[in-house]
Amino acid sequence: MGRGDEALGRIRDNPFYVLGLRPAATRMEVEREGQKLLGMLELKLKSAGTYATPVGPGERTPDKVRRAMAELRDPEKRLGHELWARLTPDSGEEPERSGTRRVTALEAAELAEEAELEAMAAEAAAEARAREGENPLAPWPEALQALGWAAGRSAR
Amino acid sequence: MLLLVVLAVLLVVFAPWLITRWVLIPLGLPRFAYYMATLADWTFLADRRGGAVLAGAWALCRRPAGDEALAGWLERKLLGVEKPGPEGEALQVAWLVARALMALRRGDLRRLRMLFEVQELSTGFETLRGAGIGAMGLLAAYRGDLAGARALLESLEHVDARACPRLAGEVALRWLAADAAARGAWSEVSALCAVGWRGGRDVALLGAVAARLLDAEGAPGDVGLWARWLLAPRRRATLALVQRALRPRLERGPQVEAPKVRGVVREGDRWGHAVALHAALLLRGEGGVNGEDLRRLGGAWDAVFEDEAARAEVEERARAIGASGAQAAIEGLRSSAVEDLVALVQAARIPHEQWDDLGEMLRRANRQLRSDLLAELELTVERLRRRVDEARALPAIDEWREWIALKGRYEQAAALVGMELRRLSFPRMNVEVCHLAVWLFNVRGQRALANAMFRWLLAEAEAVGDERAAARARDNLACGV
Amino acid sequence: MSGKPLYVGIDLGTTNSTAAVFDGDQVSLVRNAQGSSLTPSVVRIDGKGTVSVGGRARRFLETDPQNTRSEFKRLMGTAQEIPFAAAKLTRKPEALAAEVLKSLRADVAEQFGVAPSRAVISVPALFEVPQSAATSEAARLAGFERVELIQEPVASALATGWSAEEQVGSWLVYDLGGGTFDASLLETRDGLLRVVGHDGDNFLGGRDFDWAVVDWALAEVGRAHGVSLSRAEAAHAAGVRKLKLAVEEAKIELTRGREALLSLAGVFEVGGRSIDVDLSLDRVTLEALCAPIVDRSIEVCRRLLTAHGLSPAQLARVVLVGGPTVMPVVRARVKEALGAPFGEGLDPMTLVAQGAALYAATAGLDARAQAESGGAGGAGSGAVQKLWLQYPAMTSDLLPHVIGRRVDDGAKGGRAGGKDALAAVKLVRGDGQWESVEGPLDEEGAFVVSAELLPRRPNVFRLEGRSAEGTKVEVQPAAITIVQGLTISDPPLSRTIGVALADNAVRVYFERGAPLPAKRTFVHQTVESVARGSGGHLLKIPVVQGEMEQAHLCRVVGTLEIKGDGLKASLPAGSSVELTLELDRGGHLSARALIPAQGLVFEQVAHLLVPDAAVEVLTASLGAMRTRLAALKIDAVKRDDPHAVGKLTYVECTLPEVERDIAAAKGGDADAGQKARRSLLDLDAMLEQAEGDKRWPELSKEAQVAVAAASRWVGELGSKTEKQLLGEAAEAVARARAERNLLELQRQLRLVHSLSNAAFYRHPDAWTWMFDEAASEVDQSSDLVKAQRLVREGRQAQEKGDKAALRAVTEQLWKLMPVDVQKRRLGHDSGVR
Ligand SMILES: Nc1ncnc2c1ncn2[C@@H]1O[C@H](COP(=O)(O)OP(=O)(O)O)[C@@H](O)[C@H]1O
Ligand SMILES: [Mg+2]
Repeated sequence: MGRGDEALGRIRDNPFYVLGLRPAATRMEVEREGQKLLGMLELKLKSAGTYATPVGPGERTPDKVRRAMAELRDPEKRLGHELWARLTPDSGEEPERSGTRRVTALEAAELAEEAELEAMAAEAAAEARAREGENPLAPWPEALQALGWAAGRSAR
Repeated sequence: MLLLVVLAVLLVVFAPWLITRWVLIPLGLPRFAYYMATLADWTFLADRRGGAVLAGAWALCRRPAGDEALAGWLERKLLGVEKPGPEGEALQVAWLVARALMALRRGDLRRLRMLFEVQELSTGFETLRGAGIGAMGLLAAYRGDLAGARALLESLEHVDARACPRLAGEVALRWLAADAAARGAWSEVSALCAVGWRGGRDVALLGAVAARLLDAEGAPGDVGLWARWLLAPRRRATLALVQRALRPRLERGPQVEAPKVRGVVREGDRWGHAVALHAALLLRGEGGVNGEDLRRLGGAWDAVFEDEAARAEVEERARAIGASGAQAAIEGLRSSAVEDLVALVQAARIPHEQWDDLGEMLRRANRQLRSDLLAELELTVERLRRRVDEARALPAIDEWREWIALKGRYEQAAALVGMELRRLSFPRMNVEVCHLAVWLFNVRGQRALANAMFRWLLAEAEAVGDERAAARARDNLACGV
Repeated sequence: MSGKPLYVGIDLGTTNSTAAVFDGDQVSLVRNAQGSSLTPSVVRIDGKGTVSVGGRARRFLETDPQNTRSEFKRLMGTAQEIPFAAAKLTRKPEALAAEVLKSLRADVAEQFGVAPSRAVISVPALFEVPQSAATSEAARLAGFERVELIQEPVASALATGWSAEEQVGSWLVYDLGGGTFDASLLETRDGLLRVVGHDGDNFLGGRDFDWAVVDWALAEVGRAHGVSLSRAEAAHAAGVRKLKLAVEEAKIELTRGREALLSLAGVFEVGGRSIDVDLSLDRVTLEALCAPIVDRSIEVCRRLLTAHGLSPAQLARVVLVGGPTVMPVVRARVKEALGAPFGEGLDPMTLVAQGAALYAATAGLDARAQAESGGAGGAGSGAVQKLWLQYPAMTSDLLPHVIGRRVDDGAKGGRAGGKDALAAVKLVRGDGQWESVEGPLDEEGAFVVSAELLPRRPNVFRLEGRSAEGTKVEVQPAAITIVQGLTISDPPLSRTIGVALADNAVRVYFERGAPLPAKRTFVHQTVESVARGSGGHLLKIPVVQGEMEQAHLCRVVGTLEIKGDGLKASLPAGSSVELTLELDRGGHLSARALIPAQGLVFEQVAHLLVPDAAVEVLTASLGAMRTRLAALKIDAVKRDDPHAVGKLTYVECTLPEVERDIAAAKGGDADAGQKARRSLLDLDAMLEQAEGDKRWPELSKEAQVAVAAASRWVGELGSKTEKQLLGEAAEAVARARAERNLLELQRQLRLVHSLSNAAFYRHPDAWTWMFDEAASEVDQSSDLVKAQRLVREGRQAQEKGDKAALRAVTEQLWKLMPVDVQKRRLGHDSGVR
């Protein structure tokens, strides 16, 4: 799973997300925000410890902030990061459906009916998760002990 | 009293395996099991030393984890020259007497003489054969390395029957089935247990349960299932599982929900859409991606890269922030996206037919994947060549591990890319593995390992249609184990 | 706050060192006991072990070279120990550098009343990890508690930017020192300074001028006396040293004057005859001798500009730094070539130190920091709320954030909830013209307010706190200072750092320009098995530094080793290794490898040093290079490839210089040895490329021939599938040739060969042919007697028509033929990919 994590990391650690900025931010905003975050991290403020991204929250470290600032100082690199930061992180729990000009990423990316199917699937999945114990294909974690290939619970 | 002693001695002499299997292993007495099993010539005819250690390792599995001293002791019995410690001395004497009785029983005087002349079990080549590999597998499992154990036990399948006691195969099968069940890989269980009753009663039960859970064709009915349960050992521990299998099958429930992309895109933002789709697939990860998804993503990217307006937008941004132009950024984006696609394909093991498409993006990904895999194989084979050239020998078990890893990588790559990769990488693979195997066979006495390699080379040579290689492999196979 | 801050910057030069101090308002130079701002980087240890530094030591350089040492900076990061004969001791380069730093530190203490505990030290832009680490070590030895390193060109640019009014655009910093040349391209926008790129030559500087003049002088003297004098001759070493010092003085004199005299009595002895030097050097001669060296530096600048798509006309300004840049010849030639205006009123000798001091402010490295943080709380602690503040000491931002957090020291009753507890904070600027909006304290006791700065000066702000009820709460600190000006926020890494991989590629961990400190983790796969417990087996993970794509062309700065005896179980090839590299602000590198399967960590980094340049090794590699070069050249001429010939000729022309350096290294000049090593590495890269260029046409041709041969045999003797496979392979070969994809072509070629062979050996006469061919090459075999016997046997088998025997004989013959020499070990033998 190593490479998959690296790939996700490319989005999660995008300098814009790390700094909590959008691609349109000016140079000065980048510096100012970076400086502020570094200060907050130095003061160990919890509010600065995480940031929102479209692929789940990231952990903010001084190291990442500095790197992000450096990356955005170089216009060539910045341009690339701007492309990867096209998604505005959705910090709220509920996807914002009412907004007229905004649509959720998945809806935009896939056809509407698919999104509906997805929603149904998600519902079913949630249900399935609720009764996880009943999933017939669930693993049988104690198999090795039960069948005498490892010591432990088989002795019950 | 005397009668009892006599009976015990007779039992030891004539049925050492029975005692090992039904007394010493369940009691979790590795050293006793080891020494007793060395007497069980019959059971482990094909690999005596390995068989004894296998028995020991099996007994060890019944003990609480973490006894590295015992595990190490067994490992040294298998791989290294062992000097008996004080605690082992008494056993050693007992063992010697028992061996002598055994030799007498068969009237094998030559062997009797040999027993007192040389320490047969601990000199010469520590040849590794089937049961030994199985024993190392169980030891790995005992030490908590389940993946390593799996690889070793699975590899027994490739060892010639003349070098692999039946019992070792059975143990491997039973362990693998239990392990697959523990991981919830029920289709694996079902495939493993398809052999019917051969593997033992617990295997039969697991196979039946798996078939039921998967709703497979030919799954046993309720009565059949109960029957297997009744016959199988450890009924108390397996009862819950059988009950689970007996419940009516639900409609195919969806897997656990994949995390979703939490982000919004401006309407009409093509870059944003492609990135969103990309992120969604990455989030779904190994399990949830199929060929169709890849096609869709490839298409989305192609659409952006071909879109003039999208490019112009980036050019505009480049001017605004003082970058030299859009080209570099777009190319960078594209190659990262390709890299991600390749990683996805590899992680999800999607064969290339399932996502092959004419789109530029997928074409690039395909080319990249192919050359990555080829280069990786070439590199590994090159290192192997160098090691063999320089005669840097590894312990036999590590030679075997390295080989199964190489084989695994080759097969995995072949599954992803197909016949073309096999044809391209087989010639080198053939040469270097052949050298390795010849070295193992001629110089190092590891005939069983070499034999397994020759067999694989033969099968692969035939599959890719390399007649000369096949002929050579056939000659080599004929040298035996 | 009591008094002004004290930011100390030090230029630890090869020839001269300088310290400067910035107080938030003004930059001033630190003068030493002799009243000079330049302290020669010279250390002397006499027979009694007494250490003297600077001008007092420099006087002995000529008369007592065995106990007086200079230019040790060039050996930083090597294992070389520098001997002092009279005191019978040796010192590491960093220990000598520490002496210089100590002396500068004492000068600061003398002048400002505080012995600084923190400072910024400048290092050359191309310093590598071991060299930076040695510099940090020197600072520690000199008594500094914390130092940061900054690259010299960045420091120069900062200093220039500080004194200039409004600066926008690209600048070139041209830093020609005693022995190194650095060219750096920088860009300022919105008051922010950014390093766009570096280039340079670690072996180009003022001393090359000196050597050029020395060579000229030796030739002149030799001609006059009818003898030949050479620098390489050990017998002349002392004389040459004296001559060089005289030459340097003359050179400096000629910056002002028109003519200088070189006269030394009886410095050389040839055949028992004592020879005097008595020459007059005029400026024209000096300029003629120096011009080619200056041109080399200009070439570097051009290369740098081209690499970033700029032409000299686009430069807003050129900043000259370093002693030699005061020479008219240098100024004239640079002006002519680059055209851009020079920065006015800047002192090229002290600019770097000034910039370093400014940077100390940016990094918040107040040299008195120790005193400040401790005390001051005593006064009326009952009512004073202590704050922990974060703000930039110096920034280009006009509206920076000030962040603070209440320090709860427990003793105070009115914590978060109390009536008189601090609830909000605001800033009031010293001039009274501006005050911030109130920043309320959040649940973590923290606040953020934005400050408004007046440009280009120090801004003092008063902090005013109030409680929830509006009563005033005393806070501490009660005031802060923020300087507005050009800034750079982090010391950037000078050279890319990565890990060499088994396929000779480099996995980049930190790119050049990455901010420090930095830490990065990647997962690698091993390519070789390591058996447990076997001392002989080990896995190497080489850490390299450099921008080359091929690992063997980069420099190894450390190797992490995973040894079999440290493993819990054998580590099969293909295992994951999680490697983390970490660099601190001082450029100190640490590495750790985690083997997740076994939960083991390896941290032993072997030899974190610049490799030694042993003369024998250098001579051997020079010899090898000559041989390689000759072969390549013959081939290139044969191929009639003027491009390749040109490249090779360039290499050929550089070799004599390398040879000279090796000769100098033999004479004890370790620095020249390093230079030769570096040059050989560069030339190696060039030859590599030439070989690659040559390899392609060869392989391409080979492929063509192989496909043709294969078509013949497979067409005649192949099966249907074989024919089809060959068709596909031929297509793939054509495609690979069109794409110039070497690797792919090799792969396809192997396939073609194997198809072709399979068909060929089906021919009834195949083994006869193969035998004949092997027999014809029998003279090359390793065991002639055995080979000849085999040939006889083969002949008999041929007569009898025994194909099996013939085949056996032929195969044995093959084994006696020489195998290709092993491919060179690439990728520093890395065990991971
Ligand atoms: N007035 C001058 N004219 C010509 N060369 C000078 C002058 N002053 C110093 N140099 C030369 O400058 C070099 C030292 O320059 P400096 O910048 O101090 O070097 P570094 O940065 O390596 O310490 C020496 O080679 C010295 O000969
Ligand atoms: Mg300098």
